[in-house]
Amino acid sequence: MIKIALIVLISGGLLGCNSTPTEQVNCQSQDWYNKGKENVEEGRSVRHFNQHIKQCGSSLPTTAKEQYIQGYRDGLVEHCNFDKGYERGEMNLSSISICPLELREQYNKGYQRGKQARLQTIRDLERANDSANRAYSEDTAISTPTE
Amino acid sequence: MPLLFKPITVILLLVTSLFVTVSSYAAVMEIELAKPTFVLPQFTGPYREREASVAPEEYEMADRLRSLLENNQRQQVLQQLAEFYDIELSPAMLALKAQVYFTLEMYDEALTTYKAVLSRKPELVRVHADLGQLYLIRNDLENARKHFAKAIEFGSNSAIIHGQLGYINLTQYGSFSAIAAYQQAIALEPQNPQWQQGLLAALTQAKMYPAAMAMLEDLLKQHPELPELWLNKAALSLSMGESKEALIAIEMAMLLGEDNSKNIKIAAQLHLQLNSFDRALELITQHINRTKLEMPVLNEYLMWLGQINMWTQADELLDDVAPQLTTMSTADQCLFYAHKARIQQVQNNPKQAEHFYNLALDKNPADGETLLSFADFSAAQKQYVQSELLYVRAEATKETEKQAILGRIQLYINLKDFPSALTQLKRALLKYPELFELKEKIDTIENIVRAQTQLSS
Repeated sequence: MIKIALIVLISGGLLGCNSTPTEQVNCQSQDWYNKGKENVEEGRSVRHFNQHIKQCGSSLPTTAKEQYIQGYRDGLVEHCNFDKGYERGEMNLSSISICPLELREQYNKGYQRGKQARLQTIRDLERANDSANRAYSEDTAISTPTE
Repeated sequence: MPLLFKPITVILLLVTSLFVTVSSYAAVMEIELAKPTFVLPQFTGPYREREASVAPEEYEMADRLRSLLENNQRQQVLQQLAEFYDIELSPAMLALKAQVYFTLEMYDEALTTYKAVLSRKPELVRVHADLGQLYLIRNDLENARKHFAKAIEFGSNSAIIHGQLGYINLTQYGSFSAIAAYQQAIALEPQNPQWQQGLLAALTQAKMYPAAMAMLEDLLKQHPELPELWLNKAALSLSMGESKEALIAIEMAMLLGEDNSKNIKIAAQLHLQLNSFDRALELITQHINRTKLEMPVLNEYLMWLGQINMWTQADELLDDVAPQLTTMSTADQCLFYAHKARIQQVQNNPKQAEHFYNLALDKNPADGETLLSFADFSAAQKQYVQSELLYVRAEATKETEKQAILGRIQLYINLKDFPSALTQLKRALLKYPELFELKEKIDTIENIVRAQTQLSS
């Protein structure tokens, strides 16, 4: 019984890993430009659009791809820069891997700096904590009556 | 030119006409020069990493594409690149895609792709240079100039870019803007004839004759065997009003094989101008005999010879072409006989002249000019009836109508047939109001007619 339960659990887990939840888009009325930008925010590859092609088939408007790519490109410019990289690094988020080569350098630089800043902050906090602990220890040591 | 570039057949022309008025003949001499050209390179080579890098994840694909390109399998390269969204490709890969489109003459696709590269990496020198050439092929010189200028602005020091910019400036913005660009191209490739030719044309068009001449002399020292350089010198000398120098240079060019009809004609004209008649005649005869006879050319030669009273030589020239008479159109045969008639007329052989005039009109009874000449000649020979008839016939031709009416009026006045003269005068004024001076003549003749009427009554 326990074995069966484990198999069900593991299979369910594997299925969960494998499947991307299907996004519901209204093929005709979807703002494809914004969809492109959204997908960048979500760290998705531009190839994600292929799913929309599959999903919408012939009801996909002829301009959808162009609008989506424009939105995606603008999204990349907004997200693949030093500041956004820094933000993600500082927040200890994973680095997004969709930045094109020409934007990647600045983004990565920002991300590394953000990470360093985070580490520095942690170190500072630790140091402050250590100092506080030391001071406390010393205080308690002075106030302890000598026997 | 780098070995990567393969010449294609885009040859662009420059206008290098030089016009000089030669006072004694009031004619325009225009030396036929070889046009400055340049050969546009075509792209066959792979991307260059020094200009834009490929992404690390593309290294493997780059190697594959490189070997496909080396085997000239460009369609396959396109197929592989088409598997990616453009935004997934690095600017270097996208530029390669654009270059392949360009090579395959898919110009619209190439244009869009180059623009996409520049929207991502606006400072890519190579892409600006390629785009400039693409616009040049499509004859969009304004955009071509813009991108060549950008390529230079971003650091290109390629002679071909400077040279092409020079060419566009020369054709679009005048010679001064082209000189610096051509000089830069020559500085980088001193032996390239395209830039030499371009700079020479630019200097000449800018009327910087001494500079152009100095450059030309230098080139002639290096290549005295090139007839086109001698022709350039001739054109330049004409521009500077140095007919003798021009003639020497044309003769040199002809000695080296130059045989353009227009230039032979100019040489003959210059010889006539400088009184070396024998050589002039030799060139004229040589030209007439060598080429398919063109009546306008023959007319021009006969006119020149007539202007300096070389009637005998003019007649000999006509005799030279006489064997070709049967191959001529009837209109040209008419002109031939009309020339013969005029020569006989000038040489005081009225019977011969009349004979040739009749032959001319047999060939083309409606030739206004011949009818007019024959009418004038007949009047001078006191053959008034014939003269009147010929003037009337000449009136039927639009080009000679006015002249014929005026000729007839003069004939009536000379014959003191004032009523007829008056009728024709009034007709002429009605038809040609711009001849307002006829009004005065009408008044005078009306007075005469009135007086004659009073006398007779």
